[in-house]
Amino acid sequence: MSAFITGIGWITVGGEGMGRNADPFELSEGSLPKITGKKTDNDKTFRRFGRLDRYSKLGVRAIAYALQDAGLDAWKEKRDIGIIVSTVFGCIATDIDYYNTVMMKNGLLADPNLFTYTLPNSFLGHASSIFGLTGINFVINDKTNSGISALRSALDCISLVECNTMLAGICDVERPPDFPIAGNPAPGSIFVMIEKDLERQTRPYGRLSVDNSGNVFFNESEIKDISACVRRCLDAKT
Amino acid sequence: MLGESGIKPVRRFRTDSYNSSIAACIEDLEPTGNRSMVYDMLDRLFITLGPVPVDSFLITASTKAGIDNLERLRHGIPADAHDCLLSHLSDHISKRFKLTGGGMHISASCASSTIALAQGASLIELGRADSILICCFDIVTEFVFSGFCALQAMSPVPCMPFDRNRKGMNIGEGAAALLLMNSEKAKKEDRAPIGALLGWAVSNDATHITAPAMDGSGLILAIRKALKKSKLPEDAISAICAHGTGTVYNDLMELVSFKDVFRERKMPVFSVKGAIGHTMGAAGGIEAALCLKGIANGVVPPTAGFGSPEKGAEGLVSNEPAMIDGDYMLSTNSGFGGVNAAVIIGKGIRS
Repeated sequence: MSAFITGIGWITVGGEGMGRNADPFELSEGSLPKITGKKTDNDKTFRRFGRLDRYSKLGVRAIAYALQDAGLDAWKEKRDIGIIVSTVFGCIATDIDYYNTVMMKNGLLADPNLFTYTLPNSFLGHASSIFGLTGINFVINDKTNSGISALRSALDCISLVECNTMLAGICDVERPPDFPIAGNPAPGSIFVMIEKDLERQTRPYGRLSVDNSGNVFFNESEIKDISACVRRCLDAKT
Repeated sequence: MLGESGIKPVRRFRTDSYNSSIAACIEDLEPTGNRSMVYDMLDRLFITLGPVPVDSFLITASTKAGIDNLERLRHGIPADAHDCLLSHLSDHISKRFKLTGGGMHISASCASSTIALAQGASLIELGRADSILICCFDIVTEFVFSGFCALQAMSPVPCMPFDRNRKGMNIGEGAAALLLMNSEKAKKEDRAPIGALLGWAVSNDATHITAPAMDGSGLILAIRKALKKSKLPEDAISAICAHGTGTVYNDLMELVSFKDVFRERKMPVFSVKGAIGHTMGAAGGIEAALCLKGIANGVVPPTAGFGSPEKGAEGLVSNEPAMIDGDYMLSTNSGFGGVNAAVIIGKGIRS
């Protein structure tokens, strides 16, 4: 089964951007830049962006870039587009922030807004409401931030005609500094837009496919992580 | 089946700061050493599970299982922080059954385990796996309890799904394990099928992250897609296991959705949350298991706590068990993030 990659968006330590802008791409360790909800085509910001926790801001921003890169950011009617994201830490940093509000005054000051973002899929709902996306969406909690599980599951959804257009990606903020968890995946969010058919005037980056064993390929060459996929897409473009 | 409720005063943590003091807790559930309470629950679950083929693919589902260890750590009590990572719990289960087929953990709020079932069925349909172990679990913690209280979503009295006097939800804890196989694998393993997963679908409201779309558009989409997948007409469905949380908006949205899809048909619609609470990420898996039992026995459970029907629930919801005539049931769940999931469960494997 194969489908086309038509859009790429990211925010990483190396910066933020989209494939067609020729923005420099790098997924590496360090601190993420400030994440703003400012739309790129005007001065407006995404609805209720300021209420989001940092993990959600990161994911929504990267999704916005991927949709824009694919030319699918503008909409009038809701669309059957799904989102699958892989994450290592999920919203653990938000969990800690929220529980700190519970510990004050024995729960009297528990913050309802923060609690809303203690589910790692909340931002998928936020992105869906901003961009009118009604397709399947869920989070895969992974041990690494390779993102292969999200790419594979997105291709599976397309293969089974559950959705013809899918966003797949990764999302992780920095490991909470005072939380004793092993591992330190490079923080950042990357999303790719995957489309079964090319009905629009969009030049794809290439073909993404999955074999019967679940291995994922870009232009028939196996990829082991989403950042390698993005690099190959950008190389294929130039 | 008796319509009794397991929703009782919480003893696990202080509730005097909250607008509710009740939940459906497993009474003697405890953390062992530095591990989360969820391990105790899983150990009990697995006693009754029986053998699992080692080549099974594992799909786990939960929202916040293991978050009790974050609570303990913040209070300076030794605990394994890794239990807060849902992939860690998935690893534990994989090792417990010596599974070699790989796996993944799915998180999608209260639809987590329904989506796990859907993904499991998809992997079998794609030929990627012959056997899938679905394992879902969630526990009652102050973390979650305080959050729903802060959102004013919790009922101070045992919840009353689809009742016009309902006051909100109560959380509960629970776990379920379901083993999915294709027919060849089931034959090879000499397992008699309990039922079949015939249709499934997931959608998003694209409206709001906590409030459901009041026109039911998201849930309607999921139900219609699941029906299409199952190749069954609407009138083949003989009962609905609703999400039925007991919140004003969820229950209204579901009634609107069911009416849109099934029109004026009168068939049993039930919610188990008045009995076992809202088990969050485990809800869909537990409810699917109950649907299997319901279809096999031709009877569905009562909706505990239900008394005076909300408009639109008349003749559908009952506080008595209801006989069903048919082979197919619909089970739905909706949750934060605007997610909706629907599965259609049948009596046996169709040719």
